[in-house]
Amino acid sequence: MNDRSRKIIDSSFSKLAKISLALMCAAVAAFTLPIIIKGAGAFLFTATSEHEKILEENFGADLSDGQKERIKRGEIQKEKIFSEILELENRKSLEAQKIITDEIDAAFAKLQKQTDSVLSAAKLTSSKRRKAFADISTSIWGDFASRVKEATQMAEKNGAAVSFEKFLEKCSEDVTERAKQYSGSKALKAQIKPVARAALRRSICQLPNSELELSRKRLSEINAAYFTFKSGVNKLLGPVDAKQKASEKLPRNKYGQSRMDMARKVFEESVCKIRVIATDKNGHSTFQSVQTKEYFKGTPVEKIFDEIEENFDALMQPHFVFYGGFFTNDPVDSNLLGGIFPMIVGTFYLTLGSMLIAAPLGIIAAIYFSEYAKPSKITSALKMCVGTLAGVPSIVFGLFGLAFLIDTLKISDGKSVIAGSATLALLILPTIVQSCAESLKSVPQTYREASLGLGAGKWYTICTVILPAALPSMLTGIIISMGRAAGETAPIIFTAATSTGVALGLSQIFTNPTPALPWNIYNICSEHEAAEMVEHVQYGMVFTLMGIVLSLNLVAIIIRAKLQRR
Amino acid sequence: MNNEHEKSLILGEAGNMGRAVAGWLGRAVLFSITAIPTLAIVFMIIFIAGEALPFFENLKNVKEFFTSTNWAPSSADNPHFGALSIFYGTAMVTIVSCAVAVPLGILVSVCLSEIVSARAARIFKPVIELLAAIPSVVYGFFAIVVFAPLLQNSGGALIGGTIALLGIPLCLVASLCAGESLKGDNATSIKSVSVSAAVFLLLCIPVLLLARDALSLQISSGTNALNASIILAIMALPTIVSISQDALSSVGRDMREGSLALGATKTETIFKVVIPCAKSGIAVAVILGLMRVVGETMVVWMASGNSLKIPEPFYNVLEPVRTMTATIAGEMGEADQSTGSARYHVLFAMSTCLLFLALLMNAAGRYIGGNKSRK
Repeated sequence: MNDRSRKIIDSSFSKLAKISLALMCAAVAAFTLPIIIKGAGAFLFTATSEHEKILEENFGADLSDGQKERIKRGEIQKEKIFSEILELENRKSLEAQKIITDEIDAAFAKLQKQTDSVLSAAKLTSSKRRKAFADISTSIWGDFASRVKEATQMAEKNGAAVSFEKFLEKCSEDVTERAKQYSGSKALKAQIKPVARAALRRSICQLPNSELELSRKRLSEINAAYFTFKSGVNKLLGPVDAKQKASEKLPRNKYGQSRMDMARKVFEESVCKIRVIATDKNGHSTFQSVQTKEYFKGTPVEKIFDEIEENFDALMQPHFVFYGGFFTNDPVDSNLLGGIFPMIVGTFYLTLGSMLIAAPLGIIAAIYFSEYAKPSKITSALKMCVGTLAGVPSIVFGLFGLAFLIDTLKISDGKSVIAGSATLALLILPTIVQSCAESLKSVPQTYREASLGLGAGKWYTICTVILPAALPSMLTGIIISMGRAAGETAPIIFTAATSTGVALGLSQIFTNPTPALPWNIYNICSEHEAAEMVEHVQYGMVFTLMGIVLSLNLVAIIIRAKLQRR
Repeated sequence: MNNEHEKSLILGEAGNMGRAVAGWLGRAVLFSITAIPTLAIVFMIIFIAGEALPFFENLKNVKEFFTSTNWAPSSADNPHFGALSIFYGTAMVTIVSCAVAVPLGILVSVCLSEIVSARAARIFKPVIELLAAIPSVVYGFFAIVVFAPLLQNSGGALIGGTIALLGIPLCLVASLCAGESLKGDNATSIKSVSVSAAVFLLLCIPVLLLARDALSLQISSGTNALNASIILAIMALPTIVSISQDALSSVGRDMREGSLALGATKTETIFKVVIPCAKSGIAVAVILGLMRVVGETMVVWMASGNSLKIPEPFYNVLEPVRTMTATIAGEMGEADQSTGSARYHVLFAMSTCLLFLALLMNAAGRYIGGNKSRK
């Protein structure tokens, strides 16, 4: 290999190494930036007027006059849309109804005459009579099909599809009822046997009912599409009236969208587009996504849609807010509304609890290692165990907490904060021992000698000279471990975490499980029923957890920097 | 230290006795607190292996556990405990993430300790600490919310781009070296340039073909072995970097200077002197990184797809897999309702394997690291 190639390899290697360093930094940026930017969106966002309404009704917030005014402004706009929707559902197409009613009346009027002529004829065999009945049916219901179709189209155009479907259903019952009455009439009873009467009744109502059924099916498809649209509108704007609001069980259905970004998303996905049932050539019905505007072209629904689109801002009343309640409110309806207060409190308890257990033990063990232990097999075995414990997978700690602390020691009946804290304490103990022993070792030997030389006892020396000297650096290690305890998930799955619940009081930590940020992040990402509707909460939770962990680390870094300057 | 001596200096006879007892008691208390980690390890082995014992007592179970892929522990009448695909999932995720994290981690640590200045290295230290401080569930969140959709929608482009970005510069370096090495044999410059170009083209074609194939790749699900492995690699990075950086910087200055004075380039010094000297330290770093990957729960649970199949073909990293930790985390939640059931014990059997794997790796790391310190 000559010199030039060696130089090329040399410089390309150092570039490669620098690129890999840059790659690592890029990975850090790719992790943190979206979390910071989108996470801030959980409490700094453009809200709609529904936001204040939710706060007032669920969290007892006092609204200012301006906010009340804004809610009212939105309400007035929504009222318009809602009244149109209600009107649409109750609208009747009287002409169309009349066409069908007339047609049925006329048919039954003809019926009398024609059956009489059949029955007065010579005695017929049963098969011939059946045929005769069928002929009667065809002749009296002759152009019923086209009339029904005409009426249906008329009703559709008038936007009375909802009520007309009900009307057709009633018509169908009506026809059956009248056919029954007719075939049961005294005149007929005298002339033919019950079996033949039943055959007559069947052939009278079969034809019109199947026609009515066909139209009803067509209408029900349209109506299903309309109700899909309406539920999209409800999701966007909230329930149409107080009655609907009271009947909704889930809080999420009691309000419209409270965030502008979610409102736009819902508008695009559930209002602009709807899923309808379409029947393909082979007669299979499939779901299809269609544009609302296209599907309802020329009907009043299109007008409602246009109104929503045009008055979108007036309906939603967008305004920028800082929602501090995200950190202090309880979640409502699996995090779809409200904040993350119980999770923050749970994380706080677990972290602090594990620290209160682990820090004293860790410091004492570190003191033993650095001040008392003589180099021996036992000491090195103890040290080795500390290192080994640090390498045990965190999920094994969780199982250990379950099998030992809960099932064997029974420190609580089931999952509890104290069991979780103890498990976490065990997890961070080795790190604390190692870092504290390191800090104690870095205290100069002269300090010890000076103190002992002045006549102080060993324990006295440790308490008054060595510990204060090592404290800042020990604190760094402890705070970093605290960050780790705050973020660990696996150990608390079986020992402390629950996905729902309110913030615990101090007295409950020995008995109750608690929601905690890490576990709820998992839960809301992997197991939430409507994950796409809570994206901002996901990011907000992650942001909060990152905020807690990183600010702990920042404190540690600052202490260390001060230490280095000293 | 010499306690008895100092005590007699301070106190009289009566106090001396009390002091001695107090001192001895204090020591006993200190010792017993210090023994907590040791007790924890012992209890851990006793309780976790103890809960696993009812499962391992049946030899048929053991054979099925390690050789079958039929995993149906909750079935009431005919439960099966074949965990082979789960072991395979763990192995696959570990190997792939190590293939990413080890070269990258060593490169970064070499860069920090050998190539950039000490001041710059100090600036980058918080970045590594930040990476180490991010909770694992946040990595899992990132994997499932950000990375999985990205991989699913434009995974082919991502993989193809990576292959091209890595491959083409390498081809370029190789071809330049080929050209230069010809020059040494008194060849004309035109000849060497043409050889370079020919080598470059020859090497580039397969790389580009591979990249093109990757481009048209369809990824059915973003939560798969590759996703979990890449995120795990990033998680293991700070461990590998900080420990191997320590090992590299503990190599004496005299070694480097000797090598450079003999005319070696920086790269040759790094590869032939510094890295061999820091070999065992780097090995420890890799083992600790490996342990972090094997024991990690949340990322694999969220990002690996949790499928019980061994991927087809066996190296297909774009298929979902399931790991031991994810199985324990996912199934224990339901199993602990019926403590003592077969499923409860089999999960403890799995975590026994995990625990012993961790202990084994720890011992290996200690052995390798111990060799170094004895040298």
